[in-house]
Amino acid sequence: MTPPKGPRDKAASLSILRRLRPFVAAHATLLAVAALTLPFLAGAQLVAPYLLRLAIDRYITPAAAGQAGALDGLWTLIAILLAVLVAEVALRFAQLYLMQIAGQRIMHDLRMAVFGHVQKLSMSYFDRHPIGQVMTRVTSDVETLNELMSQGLVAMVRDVVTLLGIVVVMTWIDWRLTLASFVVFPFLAVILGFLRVRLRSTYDRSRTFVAKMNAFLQESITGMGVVQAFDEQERNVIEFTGHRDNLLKIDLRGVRLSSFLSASVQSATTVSTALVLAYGGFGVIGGTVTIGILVQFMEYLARFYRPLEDLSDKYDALQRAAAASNKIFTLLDEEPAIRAADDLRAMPDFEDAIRFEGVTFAYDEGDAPVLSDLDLTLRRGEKVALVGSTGAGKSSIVKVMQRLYDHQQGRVTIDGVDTRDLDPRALRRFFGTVPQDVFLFTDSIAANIALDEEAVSRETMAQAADLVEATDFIGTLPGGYDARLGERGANLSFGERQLLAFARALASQPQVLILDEATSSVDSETEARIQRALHNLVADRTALIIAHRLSTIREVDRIVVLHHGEIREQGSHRELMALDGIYACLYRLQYQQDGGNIGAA
Amino acid sequence: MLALVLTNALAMAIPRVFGAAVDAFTQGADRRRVITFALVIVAIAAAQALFRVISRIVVLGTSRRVEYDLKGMLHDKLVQLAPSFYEAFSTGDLMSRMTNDVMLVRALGGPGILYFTNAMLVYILGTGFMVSLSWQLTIVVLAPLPLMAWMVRGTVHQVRAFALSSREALSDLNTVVQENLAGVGVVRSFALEEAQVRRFEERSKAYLDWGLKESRARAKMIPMIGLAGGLSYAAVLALGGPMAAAGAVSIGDLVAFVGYIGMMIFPTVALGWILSLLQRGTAALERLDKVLQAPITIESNPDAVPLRALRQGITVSDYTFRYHDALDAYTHLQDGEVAHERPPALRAISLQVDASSFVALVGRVGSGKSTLLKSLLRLVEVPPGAIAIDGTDINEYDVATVRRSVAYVPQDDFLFSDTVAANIRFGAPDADHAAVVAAAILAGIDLSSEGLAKGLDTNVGERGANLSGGQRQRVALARALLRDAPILVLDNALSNVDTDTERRILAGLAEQRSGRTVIAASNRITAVQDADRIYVFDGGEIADSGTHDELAARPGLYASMREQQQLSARLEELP
Ligand SMILES: Nc1ncnc2c1ncn2[C@@H]1O[C@H](COP(=O)(O)OP(=O)(O)OP(=O)(O)O)[C@@H](O)[C@H]1O
Ligand SMILES: Nc1ncnc2c1ncn2[C@@H]1O[C@H](COP(=O)(O)OP(=O)(O)OP(=O)(O)O)[C@@H](O)[C@H]1O
Ligand SMILES: [Mg+2]
Ligand SMILES: [Mg+2]
Repeated sequence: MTPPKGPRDKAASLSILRRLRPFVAAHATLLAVAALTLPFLAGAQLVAPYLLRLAIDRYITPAAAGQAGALDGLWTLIAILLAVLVAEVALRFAQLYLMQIAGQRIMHDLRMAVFGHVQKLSMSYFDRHPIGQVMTRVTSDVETLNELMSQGLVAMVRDVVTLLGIVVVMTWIDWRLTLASFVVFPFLAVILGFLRVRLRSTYDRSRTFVAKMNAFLQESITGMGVVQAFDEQERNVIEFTGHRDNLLKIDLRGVRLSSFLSASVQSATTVSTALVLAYGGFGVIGGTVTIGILVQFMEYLARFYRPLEDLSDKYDALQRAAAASNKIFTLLDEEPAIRAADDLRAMPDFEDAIRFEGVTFAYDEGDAPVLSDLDLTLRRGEKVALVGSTGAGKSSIVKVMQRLYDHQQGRVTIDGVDTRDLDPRALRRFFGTVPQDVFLFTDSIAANIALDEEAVSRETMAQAADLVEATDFIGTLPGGYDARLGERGANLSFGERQLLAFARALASQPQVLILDEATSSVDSETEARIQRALHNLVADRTALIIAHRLSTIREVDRIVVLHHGEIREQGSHRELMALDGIYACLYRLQYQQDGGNIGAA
Repeated sequence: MLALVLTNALAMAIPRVFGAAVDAFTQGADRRRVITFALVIVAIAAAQALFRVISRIVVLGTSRRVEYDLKGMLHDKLVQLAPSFYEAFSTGDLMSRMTNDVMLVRALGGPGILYFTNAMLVYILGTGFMVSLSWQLTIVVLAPLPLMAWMVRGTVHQVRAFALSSREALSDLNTVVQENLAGVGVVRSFALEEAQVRRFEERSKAYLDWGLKESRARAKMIPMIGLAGGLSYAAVLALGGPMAAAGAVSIGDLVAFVGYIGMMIFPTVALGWILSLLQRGTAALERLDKVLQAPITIESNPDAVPLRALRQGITVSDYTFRYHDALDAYTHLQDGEVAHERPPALRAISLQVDASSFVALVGRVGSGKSTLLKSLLRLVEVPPGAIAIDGTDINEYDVATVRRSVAYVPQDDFLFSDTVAANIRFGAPDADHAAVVAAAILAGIDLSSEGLAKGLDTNVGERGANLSGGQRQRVALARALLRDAPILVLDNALSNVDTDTERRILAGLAEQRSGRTVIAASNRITAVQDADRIYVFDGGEIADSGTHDELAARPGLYASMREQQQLSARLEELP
């Protein structure tokens, strides 16, 4: 990875600021109020040295010179100084707090924006991006920005205002002295420019490594069972150490760079002090400068450098935040592969049929198609079984039908309306799916069955659970329907999880029920009972059933045999048996093997 | 550390030089002296810059190393913790601890220590320099400090409490994100996006609220400290002014004093910030400690013996298992979730697996098959006396050798997001290509017609999401077969594979078994009918056992399961 070029990098920083603007603008009032305190704070910073100068030049020096009553004014001066300090403290509290509120609210908005955007991204995005990485964007990267927002940005504005104020006042007092103190600045600017590019690319890589490490970590944690079953903990540790090494190396580089940054700022300030002293010293000798002015000047310089040094730290934070926001905005710029059409058509009533017309589909544009030129009709009220060898494309048909992926050629229609003209979310609600891989949320059983708790009543939910024979085991759980599940349903057996997923599909009361290996982990006894229970319920429902165990599909109207993404056979059980093709072969295998007992073992 | 001391000592010397310069000017000095003063300051600056770089690199570098080590320690612990631990702590929560909390500890260890040491040094050195100028003034300057400490104390505790709550809220937030991404298929397919956003918003708001509370407490602290600094400033003028006028101190000294206070105010303000860093850091450490302190419930005894081969067999006797027994160990670490009473997953199970035999487990949903299989690998906490391998209790063996003796295909066919080949090689990293291909073929992966875009080099995606259900299961099977272990444990390993492929795989396995012991749970009669012995599970107990023919002949669960799977065949024969 080469460090990005200067101008482009600058443009990137600017565009990040521009991108952040809407988020900041939403809290403009708060920020404005906080900003109001800035001139006062900066003013307070300026007043103290001025008072000091007055004290020395007007009271202390004359008093030392023996003028009577010279000290009287000093007390008033100190009273004013104290008042200024108290005001400063009060303002600073107000400012800090307001800025914190604004900063954290902005972060909240940004989190919402990122998470909301992630919800729009299609499945294909997640095929390519590991969870741990996306997670890093939503929380960790936003958190990094937070540091800058709630501490840095605020202080930075204050520092800049203070700096400007000091420069103005200093120039006003003695522009030659001011010039003397700024001689070193061009050098400093060159050094800063040099370091900035490097810092930025270093932090960029650091964020990338962090995301990679987190992706690895999240995968290790979820797969720890497998890691331990295979006794591969050691290798897991070695791999993680590799990730840690990468990150440490780049982070140490960042530390070195930022140390140079801070050291160069500090040396520059000290050199300026020396310059002012020398130049001012000549002035004092020549009688053009009073000691009071010189002292005041030095005080200003000290106050000038403190925020400057502070800024160099902030600058560092800024580069880090820029790297993080770069990642965030890259995610926000990700176009969802599947978007609602501009002129949406209303969801059809489904009087007729769902049709695949010459559909060709591949997960990756360039790859060999998973479905090729596929024609398939699912009429209203019909129960169709989809069989075929593993990897034939059965689950892919389901995904395309729900428009979880977009097909490349052909049309999928409902009552003649292209599914691409429908609102994808309405389209998906039209189906109720038991997916091949079950996913349960860390939530109650009830919430897992009735995913949309507003649309599904408690009775419907319980009824669905009853239909799939899940009430028995739910009854043994403390709290019954309110029992909380572990992550992904970890505290249930596999079959139990599948039953819940089945109940979930039924509870959503869809127009079309899709069962993708819905009972593959369920024993046939339970399965048969579910089938009997469902018999009446789905009598007039449309259903698409995918199963390898042919006993699962014995009551369908039509069987479609899929092979390598193409439909090979289609018809009733009897017709297909008569055809003596793939289906008949599969069928005989199951039947024969059971009766005939192929001698193994 | 030395570098840090030197940097600060040098920085502190500057006001001194400056004060001397001012005094020199008041007494009238020539240009030579002016130049000398300036040069002294420049020399100091150069040295200071050098030391500053060194000290920062050392301290901040150390904080990065602390992070590095801390993550290493946590991960080392995580790989040792039993699966039951992962039921008490969710992935999102653990991720939050490993990232966000570690970050806070790093901030404490790096900038925290840096600024703290800096502040302390400035105090000590500053006080030293000041005392050397005038001890009366010094006392005045330092007087407000105890006042400040007293004011800040209460706030500090508040910050700590809020910081802890805010950390927990962040963990919750992380968990929502993690779940949402892990379940993206369900979220999209059931169009749950809006509900998920609401859920996220709730957590994000909670996090925001705690964060704001924390900030308010922190904001309170900083002006308190600032006020103390301001008071010092005023006090010096009030006292020092007349003293200088009276000639008790020189104007130069007074100027130097003001310079020192200026130098000390900033570290003092920073101290407030450091205190809050400290509070956040300790809150984070507390959370990390929960993981580091978690008991390791499954490990080898100190005098464990290795398991080399299976000679006689595995005996399970009177084995009763409850999941929540193990969870109790963690409940005190995690508030909220309490392990709850449920009927035992296994009730007084006894069975025998002879070496080199094929034993099958069938039974209803949730009847305890997987629990028993996991016990054979000690993936759950097996009580002593329940399982014996070759006559020795399973807990007496070295865990690693037990797991290496068993090739396991879990019911949850978890794959890592890597290539097919890498996944197959997972349990045998040194296996050569030919062995990988052989295992793949044995597992029924037909590389020529499988539809894997890049064959063995196809990336399987997270959890194997880019493969079909059956492909995933067969990769998991190949992964186990490549281990070449004496015991093969299959937990519903072919439930998503079509019958044709299943038959090929089973035939292949039978051919290559060569003395391996096979223990398989399955819902398909076709997969178990050849077993030497079939155990029928029901509600955590063994309802029946025997060979296929014996079981099929008597009425019972097995016979009726077989009946169901044959029903269509019968229907066919009727007309
Ligand atoms: N997300 C994905 N990205 C890329 N390729 C995929 C993805 N999902 C599936 N595939 C590939 O598409 C093909 C068809 O997969 P599909 O899941 O539709 O098969 P299936 O018929 O459901 O098989 P099974 O019976 O094993 O579930 C397979 O070759 C698979 O590797
Ligand atoms: N981690 C766990 N914590 C608590 N209870 C559990 C856990 N895992 C399983 N159980 C419960 O223990 C019982 C046995 O589960 P097990 O997974 O052994 O069943 P199984 O026979 O494999 O079922 P299936 O055929 O559905 O896979 C079930 O009632 C299940 O709910
Ligand atoms: Mg499938
Ligand atoms: Mg199981």
